[in-house]
Amino acid sequence: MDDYLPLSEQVKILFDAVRREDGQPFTLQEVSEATGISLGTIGQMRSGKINNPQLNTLRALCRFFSVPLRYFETQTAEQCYALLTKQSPQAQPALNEIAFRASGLSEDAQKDILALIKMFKEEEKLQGGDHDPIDDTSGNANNDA
Amino acid sequence: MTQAGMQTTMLDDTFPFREQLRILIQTIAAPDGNAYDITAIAKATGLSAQSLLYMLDGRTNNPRLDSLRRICRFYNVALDYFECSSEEQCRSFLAQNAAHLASPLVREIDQKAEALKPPDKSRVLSLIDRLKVLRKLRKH
Repeated sequence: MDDYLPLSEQVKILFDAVRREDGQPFTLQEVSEATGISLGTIGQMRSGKINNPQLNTLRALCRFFSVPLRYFETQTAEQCYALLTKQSPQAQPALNEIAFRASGLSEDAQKDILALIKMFKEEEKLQGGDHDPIDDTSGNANNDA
Repeated sequence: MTQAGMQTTMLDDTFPFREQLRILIQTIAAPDGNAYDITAIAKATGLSAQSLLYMLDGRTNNPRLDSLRRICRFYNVALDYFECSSEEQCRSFLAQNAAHLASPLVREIDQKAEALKPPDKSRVLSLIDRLKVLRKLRKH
């Protein structure tokens, strides 16, 4: 279960991959001053003496090196570098309210919900003549059938 | 919501950890439809119930990496969740996370529900709530 890359490795990769403008690695002193994390703490995280730091320390470090917090969930060096090179945005749109709430139900219940939605849509289609489906901010998906 | 005399942290613009945790526990329910209770979370994560309670009442406002990883693994969310800086952000993060994990069935519900008219949407929502209540009743 505990197959995370050791924190010291994760921190070393940060220092190695994210450099100053002159191409040199940041010094502990510079990172300490910019983040407010004590010099000793950063040094010991890098050397492996501290492997279970606090949330605020991690946040400050992430902010300084421009990586998301999940950087500290990486299991391989490759995953670290992947997070460092591309700011992978989460492209997938969120679920709508109905699907989100339904995702906590059993599969049987979800099937019922789906059937109900389909039924409502049939009903809407039947009454469609006198109601214009305007103003539905969720968009009208009638044409993709 | 800043309290005077509150200990200054390195980043005081972040939403309190206890709020992030509370929203996580409230939002992601167990298969029986109820939120996981502290005992269940403690058992599954290996954290003590007291640690969890301290996190929720704010006594522990700066938890350690290992605890965070355990909570994230249990709830199947990325550590990034603890970067959310408002209740709204927390909720949309979790909705997005659910989209990543959604089964084909849930995806279909998502797609079909999108085209419903608002009154029908609320009818479906209230049915979901009733199904959840029903399940709780059956449990007891």
